[in-house]
Parts: sequence; structure tokens; C-alpha cells
Amino acid sequence: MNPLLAQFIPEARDLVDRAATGILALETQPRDAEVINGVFRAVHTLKGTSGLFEVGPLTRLVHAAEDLLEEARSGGLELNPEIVDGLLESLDLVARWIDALERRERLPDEAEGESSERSAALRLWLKDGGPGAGSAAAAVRRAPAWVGALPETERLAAFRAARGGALTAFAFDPEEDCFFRGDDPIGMLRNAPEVLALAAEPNRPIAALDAVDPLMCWLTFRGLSRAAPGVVAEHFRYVAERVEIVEIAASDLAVLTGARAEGPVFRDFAASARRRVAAGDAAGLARALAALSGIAASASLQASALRWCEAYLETCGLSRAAEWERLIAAVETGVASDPTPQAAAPVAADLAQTLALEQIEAWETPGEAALEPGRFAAAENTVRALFAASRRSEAGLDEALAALRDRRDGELLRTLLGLQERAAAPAKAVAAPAAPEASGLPRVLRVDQGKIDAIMNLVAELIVAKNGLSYLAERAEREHGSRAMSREIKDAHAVIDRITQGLQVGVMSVRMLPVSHVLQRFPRLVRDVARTLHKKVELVVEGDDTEADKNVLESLADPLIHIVRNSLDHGLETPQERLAAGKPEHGTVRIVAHNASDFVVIEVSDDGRGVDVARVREKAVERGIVSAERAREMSDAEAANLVFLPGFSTKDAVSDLSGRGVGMDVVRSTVVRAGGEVALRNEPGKGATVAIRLPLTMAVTRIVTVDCAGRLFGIPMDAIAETLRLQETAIRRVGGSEAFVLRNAVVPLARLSERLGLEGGRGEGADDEAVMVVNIGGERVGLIVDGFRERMETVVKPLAGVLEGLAGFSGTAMLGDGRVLLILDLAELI
Amino acid sequence: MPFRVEGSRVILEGHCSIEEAPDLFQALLTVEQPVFALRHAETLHTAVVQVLIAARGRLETRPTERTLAACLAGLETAVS
Repeated sequence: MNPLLAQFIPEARDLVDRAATGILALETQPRDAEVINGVFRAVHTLKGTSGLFEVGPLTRLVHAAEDLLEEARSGGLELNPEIVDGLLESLDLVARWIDALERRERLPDEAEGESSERSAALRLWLKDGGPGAGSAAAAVRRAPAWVGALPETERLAAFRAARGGALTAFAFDPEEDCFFRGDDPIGMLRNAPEVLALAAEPNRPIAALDAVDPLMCWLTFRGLSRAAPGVVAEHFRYVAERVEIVEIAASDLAVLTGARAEGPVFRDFAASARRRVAAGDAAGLARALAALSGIAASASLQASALRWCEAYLETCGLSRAAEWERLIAAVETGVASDPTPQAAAPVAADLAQTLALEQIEAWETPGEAALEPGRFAAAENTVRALFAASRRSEAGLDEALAALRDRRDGELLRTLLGLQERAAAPAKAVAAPAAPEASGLPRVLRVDQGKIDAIMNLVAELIVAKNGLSYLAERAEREHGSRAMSREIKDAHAVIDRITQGLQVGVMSVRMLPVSHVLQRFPRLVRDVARTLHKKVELVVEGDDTEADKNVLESLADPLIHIVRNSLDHGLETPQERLAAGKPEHGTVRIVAHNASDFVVIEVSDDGRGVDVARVREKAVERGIVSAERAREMSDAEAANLVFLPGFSTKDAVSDLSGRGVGMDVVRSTVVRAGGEVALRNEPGKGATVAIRLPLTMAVTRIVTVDCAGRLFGIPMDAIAETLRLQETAIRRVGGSEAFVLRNAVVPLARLSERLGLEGGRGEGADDEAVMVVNIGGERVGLIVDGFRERMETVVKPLAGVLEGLAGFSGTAMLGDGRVLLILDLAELI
Repeated sequence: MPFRVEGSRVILEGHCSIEEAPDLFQALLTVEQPVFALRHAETLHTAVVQVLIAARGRLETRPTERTLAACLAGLETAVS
């Protein structure tokens, strides 16, 4: 796989997770700025990095989500559960695509359709189509200053080509070192869609030729395109962060330049031009324009205004009264009363105040009806310019202006101009691009898990090889009679042992992850399941910083999901039932993780109805899992644990959630396979707790070897409670089976040779028996073996190949002398 | 070679890629008041265009391709 993509995939997953977690948190605290910024940054980064790959549908969908979040961040949108659902579903889709990318290095074929469908759904929640859609009136209005700085000839040509309609302006500042990445900015511009105007300028004074670095990019570009902003953005998607794209109105191009020229001829023209515009005399105006253009010095501002008048006349006739008035006034006075931000930006607060007062005064002076449109246009221009200059939100401005035109409401104008506090929508924070997070990067390596596993395997081999030394020491003494040599080998063994242990601990710690790695998906799971079941549930997670080996955590994930689903489905009652039982309406599911010596314990508890023990007994008998007699004898605690037995399911109707034919037995077998155990504590009416106990790490297992019928077998140390020698006379025979009394408790006995079907052991008849008391699923059993051998640390490899499926064994291990040891699976054997 | 120097005349032809930029740069250091002949130039890499601008030469004719023309708009044309 392309290494860049290989790096992108885990990063993208991480970002999706982070965003999803944050969005969930937002549902409960929609105003938490830190959370929303976190989500926004994650989505923004994902959009940015995804642009490097051929994943257009993904980028577009993430972009839509980003726009929605942007709106929420600025306070323009309240995130309700439906929107949260929409965002989460979109992230799910993105996560699926990332999986597909990992498998096949491309998006699924249906991605295009899904993307546009979902993006459209997301954009539905956005007013005006959102900041990125570019159709918003606000985006059209905010023409950047550099638009006016384009050469006038280019602007005029673009204006004519656009026929007075909307245009897309773009500014492209390539990075200095972009050549090294294979970029050719001019090449990119050459192929840009429907470019109408283009200007290049250096971003600094050009040095003397011999001081120039020919491989550093210093040209910057400004341009206009007739294509929609989205199309232009798509073209520049690889350099999105270096490009500013704005939709502008054609009239934004009419920025007048030049020096003021004097002369009565201009005033005369203005008077006649106003008459002709009012009368709709286009032909007369054209003649007047042509005549005056011939006289005016072409570098003057008036000449510039005249050229724009011609362009307006050609493209949109006399229809735009306000813009005509502006141009004619410019010819008349030689001063551009420019409504674009270029002119408005330097408006100081007091100047703005003066302008506003003048407008109000003009507005309130009674005048001829014929002057109304012009007056309104002037007021509108001033209002818009002030709004743009003070960077205030223009949301609602259009409606306000329309109202102003209809009602000629002086009070409203005052509000818009002067007392702006009351105006329109809350001031929208100008969206600052997410600050680059270059500084203070965490010094973290992303390492492929395979590499760590390879080191782990080597450490494991080393442990096995190290065990060989103790054999060697024994042989040196026994076969070669050299006690001194034996001692030296033992010393060497001790040193290597210490280093190996250090190495093992080191590698283990690399593989350690906090439990939150698995638990982070639960808030989402609980929320979704609770919504489906119409239950109200609160999830409490404690101790999610508890660490355990990555493999252990991964083996924990599926059982945990199952247990939590069970709690939600079977354990917790509906809000009505809860209220009737005098409980709070909200059920609580609690996931608590903590360390207990070499184990990690995770408990899932709920405050629901608990397990119906009578019903469990009944069902277990009905299904033939236990005999009726045995069921009666059981304590309630034992009976509750029957749910872990294969083939057990209490819900009659198989629900969509938990009862899929696989039940708690799968949970147990998964946990046991990982070397752990699971138990259920039940408090009828108050709730149930399922506790999973797993070894911190699965890589190295401590075992005891035992002798049986002349062969060696390994038993995991964790299962062993104690070892003892038992006099033959102490063995009681109950029915067909044997047992003995250990500290006032009857412990059943089993002979390993019988269980394994081996002959040739010491068998019965010896004076005493070696008994290993083992814990199996919370019960003690005495295992009679021929003798105990040594304890060792070793790596248990799962049974593979022809051995796979061999009952009674959990795996194999290598002995120090090279022999293969079979590790017993006691739970299965006894 | 996509470019060659004939006296003060610097002729660029065909496609000039980024590889040409350092060579062109070196060559232009020795040419006083260069005049660029771009009639047969098809595409010029940004780096090449920048070298032309930095060398402050004049253009024999304005390029017809509009992107290039816009980028070199700051250079004067030589009076021939």
C-alpha cells in the first residue's frame, strides 16, 4: 500500500473516533466550546488530509459535516438529537469507507451516491446551504479587497463574460517549498475551470537575480472564474489551505481607479445621464458615454467610471439603478463612493458614525418621490459597507433592508446604521482557520503492531531459550560431575533471567493500552440501543485509564458489547416499569475497570430488575442443561451463573439486540480462551453485575509441569490453588466418583491419567497421591497426577494445523530441552 | 534543450519543466538585458516563469496563452 495512505488510515480512524466521541458529548452539553472546537478540529483535519487521496466522496461528506459543525460552533445552529444522529451516521459511513480503503485502497463504488445523499441530508440543516455552498447571500457580498486590485482590463472582461451575474474569485498563495512536492502552481492555474481573469504578483520585492533561489516559489495568484465556487474548490482541493475562494457579485468588480480629473463636462454628463437612466434611454446614454470617453484622460477616475458605465450598459442595460447612481456620482464628483469592502475596510469607528448620521439625515429630509430609489440605494450601500467593515454577521440583513424599502422606517435605519447592537443576528465570530498544530507535537511514534508483535515473539523465544540454561546446569552436574560449572551456568542464567524480565516488561508496556481504547465505543452503543428500546439510560464509566495488553483488550471487546447489550435489553426496565417499582426513570449502566494484581477486572453492572433466578432454573431444566434435582440443590448464586452455559437464553422472543442464538456462553468461552473468567452477581430487583477478569497480558504464561503416565503436561499457574500429598486412606468414594475433605469442605477428585485416557501411570495402590487443587469456574477440584515438576514461564502457542480442535488442550509450549509441552485446558477436561 | 541563449536573446521552446529552472537561472546570470523569445514555448513551469521575472528581461512578443500572459504581464516588451 502507498505508505502515505497506510499512514492516513489509522490517523483517519482516530479522527473519526475523536469526532464521534465529541459529538456524543455535545448532545448533552451543546454549548461546550472546548468540545465543539475539538470535534471541529478533528473533522477539519480529516477533510484536509483526505484531500491527498482519490477519495472525493469522503472529502465532500466530511466537508458537509464540517460546515454543519461550523454553524453550530458559531452559535447559528442547535445540535438536536436528529442532527447528532445525522452526524454520527455520516461518521459511521466514513469509518466504513476507511475500512474499504484499507482493504482495497479505494472507496466502494456506491460511495459517490451515498456521499451526495448524506451530504444533502446534512446540508438540509444548514440555513442558506452553509458557508461552503457559496450560495449564501453573505458569501456573495463579502468581496475581498484584492478583487478590486486586479487589472481593470481583466475585471472589465470578466464582468462582460459573467453578464453581470455571480463570479468566483480565488486567491492562491502557493507554499514556498511547493516545487519540492511536485507542484506547479501555474500548471494548476492553466487547467483551472473557466478562468476569466488572472494576475500574478510576487509576495515580496524581487531580489537581484543572483540572490534569487530558483527553486523557491514566491509568486502569488489572484483570479476570477465563471465556474461555481464548489467547482473551483474541487480543482484546488490539493492545496485547499493555500487558496481562498469567494463568490462575488459582478458589481464587486466595478472598483474605480485613477486620479480625479477636473472639468465642468463631467457634471453636465451626470445630469443628463441621470435623466437618461430614469427615462430608460439606453441609446442616448451610450452616445453620451462614447462622447465623454473620447475626452476624459484614460487614467482618470472618471474615465474608469465611464468604462464601467459602458460595461453595465452592454451587459445589464439600465436595470440596476443603485449601481448606475454610484457610477454616475463618481463621474460627477471624481470620487468613488465605493460600497465594496476595499473602500469600507479602513472606515474608522467615528467616520462610520458620521456616514451613518448623514444617511439618516438624508433619509428623514422630505423629498421628491423620484429620488426615493436612489436614496434608498445610498442607504443600503452605507448599511452594507458598515456591516462589512465591522465584520458583523449579515444574517437577516437582506430581510431588514427589504423591510426598510417597504416601510421607509427611519427607526429601523437608525438601528441598522447607528445603534447596531439590536441589529439582526448575533455577531458571528469570524471563522478563524484552525490554527496549525505544529508546535508541541506529542513525541509519539506510530508503530505497526506487527513490529511490536515480532519483538514480543523474540522475547518469548528468549524466555524459552533461557529456560534451556537450567537444563544445562543440571546436566553439567549430573552427567559431567562438574558442580562448579553448574553453578557458573546458574549464575549466567540468573543474569540473563533478569535482563529478559526487563525486556519483557518493556515490550509489555509498549503493548499496554488504557481500557478506554475498548470503552470509547460504549457511549455510542448505549445511546443507540437505548433509543431503539425506548429506555432511558445513563452510562457511567470508571477507571478507564486502567491499562492492559492490547490483545487482551481486543479479546474483551466483543464479550463486553454483549454484556452491555444484555443489561440494556434484559436487565433495565422501561421508564414506566422503573417508576412503578419506585426507581428513578433513568437506568444506570456502570462499567468499572480496575487492576487486581496481574489481572484486569471489568465489571458491568446495572440497576435493573436483576436475573430472575427461578426462571433461570426452570429454563435450564427445560433445556436439559441441568437435572431438576441439581437445579433444586443449587444456591441462587450458582443458579444465576447457569446463564453462562451453552444453549441458554431466557427471553422467549429473540430480540433484535442480544438474543441472537449466541448468548452468555459465548461471552464465557471467549473470556476463558483469553485466560480469564467471568462471573455474575445477582441482586433480584436491584440489578446484576457481570465481572470479567482477564490476565494483564496473554503473551507469557506461568505454568507448572506435571508428570502423568510418564509424560509431561503443563497447567496454567493461575488455575492452581494449592498442591498437596494425599494419603490413600483419605480418599472417599462417593457413588462412582472420588472425593476428599479439605479444610471441612468436600472436594471432588479426578485422575488426570483417566481423563486423558492414558495408561501406565502409577495408578491406584500407591501410599499417597500427588493432588493439585485447581479452580475451575469458581469450583475446586483435586487433580491426581503422578508428580509435580518445575514451574516455568513460557509462551503458550494456540493449537494450530492438525492439532486445531483437539479437545482438552489449550495450546503448546516449548520446553528448555526442545520438547513440546501440551498445556491442559482444565475447564474442558474435567 | 528547451532553452538556448543566442547573444542577449533567450529562446524557450516546448515544455520547460522544473529541471530547466536552475540551468536557465545560471545561464541568465551571464546575459545582460535578456530578451525572451517565447513564441514556441508551450508550457513553462512556475519556477521557470519566476526566473524570467527575476531576470527582469523583456519579451519579444506577449505570449498568447493567457495564463502565461497574465504571469508575465509585468515584463516589458522589447522594441524590435
